[in-house]
Amino acid sequence: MKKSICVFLMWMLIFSFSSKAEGNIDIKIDAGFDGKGKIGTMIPVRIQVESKKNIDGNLKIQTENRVYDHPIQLYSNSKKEFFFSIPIFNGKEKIQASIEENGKILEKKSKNIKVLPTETVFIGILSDDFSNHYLKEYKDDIFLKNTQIISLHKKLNDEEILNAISLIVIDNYNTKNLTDQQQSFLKNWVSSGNTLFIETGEHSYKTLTGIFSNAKEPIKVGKGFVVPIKDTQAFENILYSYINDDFIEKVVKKDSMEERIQNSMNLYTVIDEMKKPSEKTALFLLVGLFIYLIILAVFIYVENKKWIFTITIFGFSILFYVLSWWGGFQKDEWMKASIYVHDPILRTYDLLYGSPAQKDNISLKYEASFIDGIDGQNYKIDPIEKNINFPKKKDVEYILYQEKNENEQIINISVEFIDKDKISANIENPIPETLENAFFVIGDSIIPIGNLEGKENKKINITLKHDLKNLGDYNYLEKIYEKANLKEDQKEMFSYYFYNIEDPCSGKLIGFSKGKEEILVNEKNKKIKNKICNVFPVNMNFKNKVYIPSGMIKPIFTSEMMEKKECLLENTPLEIYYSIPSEVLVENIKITTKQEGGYMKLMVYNFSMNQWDLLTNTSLNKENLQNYISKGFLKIKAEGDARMSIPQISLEGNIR
Amino acid sequence: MELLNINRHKKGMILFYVLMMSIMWIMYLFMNIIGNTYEIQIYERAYLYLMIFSFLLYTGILLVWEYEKDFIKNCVEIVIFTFSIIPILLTIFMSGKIPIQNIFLPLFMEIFWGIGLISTKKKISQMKIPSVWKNFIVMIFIFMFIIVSSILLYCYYEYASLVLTTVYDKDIPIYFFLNPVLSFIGTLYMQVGGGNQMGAKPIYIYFIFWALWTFVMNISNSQECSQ
Repeated sequence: MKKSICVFLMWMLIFSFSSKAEGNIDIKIDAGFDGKGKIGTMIPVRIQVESKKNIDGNLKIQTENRVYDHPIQLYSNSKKEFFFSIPIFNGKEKIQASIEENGKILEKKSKNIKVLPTETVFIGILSDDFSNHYLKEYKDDIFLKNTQIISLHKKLNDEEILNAISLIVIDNYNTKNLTDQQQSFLKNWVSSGNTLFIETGEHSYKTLTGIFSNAKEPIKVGKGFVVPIKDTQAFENILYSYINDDFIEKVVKKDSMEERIQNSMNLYTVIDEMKKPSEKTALFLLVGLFIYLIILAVFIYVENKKWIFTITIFGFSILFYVLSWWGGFQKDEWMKASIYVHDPILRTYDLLYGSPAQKDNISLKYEASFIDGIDGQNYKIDPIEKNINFPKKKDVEYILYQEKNENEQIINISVEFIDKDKISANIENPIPETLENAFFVIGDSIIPIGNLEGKENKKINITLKHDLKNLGDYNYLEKIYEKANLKEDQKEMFSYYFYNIEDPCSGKLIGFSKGKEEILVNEKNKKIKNKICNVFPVNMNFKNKVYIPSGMIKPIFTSEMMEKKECLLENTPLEIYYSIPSEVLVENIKITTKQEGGYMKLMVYNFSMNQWDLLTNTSLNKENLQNYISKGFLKIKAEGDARMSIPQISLEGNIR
Repeated sequence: MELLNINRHKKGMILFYVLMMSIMWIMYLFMNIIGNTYEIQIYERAYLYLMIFSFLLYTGILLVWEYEKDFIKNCVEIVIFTFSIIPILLTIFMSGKIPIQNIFLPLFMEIFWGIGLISTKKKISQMKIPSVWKNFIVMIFIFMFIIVSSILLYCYYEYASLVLTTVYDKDIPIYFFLNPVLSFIGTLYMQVGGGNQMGAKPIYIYFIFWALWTFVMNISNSQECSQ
């Protein structure tokens, strides 16, 4: 009896499962890198919908705090695949995809994503032998404490997802299978400061094709490296010779994508400035009125044609009316405030503002890798078609934040170090518009340049004055504003760049320009005004001796506080990393810092003995130096209870 | 073409009118706009205040405006007088980048008021009273309509403890809207964003009343008379 009940229950169980499979719609979700993602980055998502009957509805994708919509049409017995990428912000993320038709949910499915913390190093692998790859459990004590290997095969549809990847290794893989677009994604990724390892051992016939054909020796591409390796042992030995500060930042610094979105409202001041009617308009119109008065007065005295007075009145009325329609005196409907960071790949951070006179639904097409509405309106973001639909409301303002990558531009701004604090700069304005209030930030010095005309070439000699040394955040920014003579909206843009994007200490030329851009609204091109803060990289050249001035090597650290130039140590130690450029044979390093109140001690990590040493006057001398920078970077720890300015280093050496 | 001729004195008055409005606009510009933060309301208020000022100045000028014998010519002259201010209004809108309001509605209200006033002047001058009193009566007429009815409205407001949120408020009895200034201000206020609780009723009443008044004033038109 008991046996038959068990069999009966078992059959019921099997039937219940099979009845589920008989549903009309089947959704398959493949999210993240094998279901994993790194917090604060974009993950690739693939959704496959298979249906037995016709569907004409909406595909809705939900994460913890965002909803995306895409209209979907399927014929019976067909399937469709969608590829897109979305950001993950929370420690726990779940993707839920549902198909709705006429307000009714036909089918839904969800999938959990394992969100890994910032310290996880994602290693992207392109290999035919992924499951047994030698890097699977790779660990070391320096940065690769938590690693996660990820297969990039068939995932390279979107450039943005590579931001989560710290290293890429290509071995035993047919690089001929990579499309031109995928190869350019990899090239841009390397240019932004990342390292790519490519095998030149037994499978070199597969790997060394296309853009990798001539990889015989490590080459520098942009800010990053393409390094050929023969086998696994080589990876361990040379990894730390080819990393730079971008690698360290990805591991050490917490993600700031959510902060960038929230703080982008600060850029609204710039939009406000653009909304203002210019005083020139009022003056121009006053001149028009003046002419009107003069002509009326004249025609009082002219007696021949008495009707001219009347005709004048009507004529001027019609003239002003026509002017108000065509003269460009209407309200601007869309405006943009942007930060353009050339790094050397141009990445733009935009605040897009719109207040259209709305009669119908408005749909805006965007090309950005990421866009988000930040004022709580009900935007319908469609990441598959890259469209935003605005709800139909009267007199509403829309504010959106977007980030995107654009093509690389050749920048010819170089600086040559003649002597310790003397440099000669060769500046070419890369954009056709005027660069207003341009200035250099090199280490802890600010050098104002003034206005540069479009494509203007300028050569100047500069003495570094170190006027930004040991200044806290507020004084640092105030000094820059004062020396560069910035206007209110320019101050706001620079402040947003400084706090949310990067510290310009490694040598940047910053200037402000006004441009016009095109956006696609309801399938029509619209020209909109754009105020831009441009950040250009500066090439540093050294003649024989290398003098890197104080503050130029960016201190990389992570802290709960917002401050970038100072830190309040309250008995929690702060670890700071400085990446030493691999081209330099370092002879000596100097550290400067300022301490206020309390007590503090600095320690430096000794890689040969794997311990923390107290930092003294002789620690960083020529004899002891190798212990501390053998892995290509310097690691400092500050402990105590004081307010300190983040230590800056200056170094001297020779070119390797 | 004869219709479009205007007397030289009137041309001077029109010039004075436009000049005063331009000066007021420039003064407003320097006081409120240049040097202050931008607010779209400043320009809408400019439109409101300048139109009210223009109405009062318009009424003042009409006191000494000579009327013509031909009714149509009168109308045309008043229309030209009223429209002479259009470039200034458009300047306000263009400087402030605000969408252009329907300026013809208040302008037509001014035209109806102007024609009514001129017809009244004509009728009074035809009556058999000493000429000294004729101007006086016109002035009393304007005084009663504009100022006294406003005072009566204020007294009613205090007496009945009205709570008014806008000019076209439904608590105000309809008779007060015969006051041209009130209707005029109400229309302007409605255009710049104030509420309108009475729909288009006051506007209809205004136009119908002043059309009838003009008609009545012009009935006994056939007699030739001296100005």
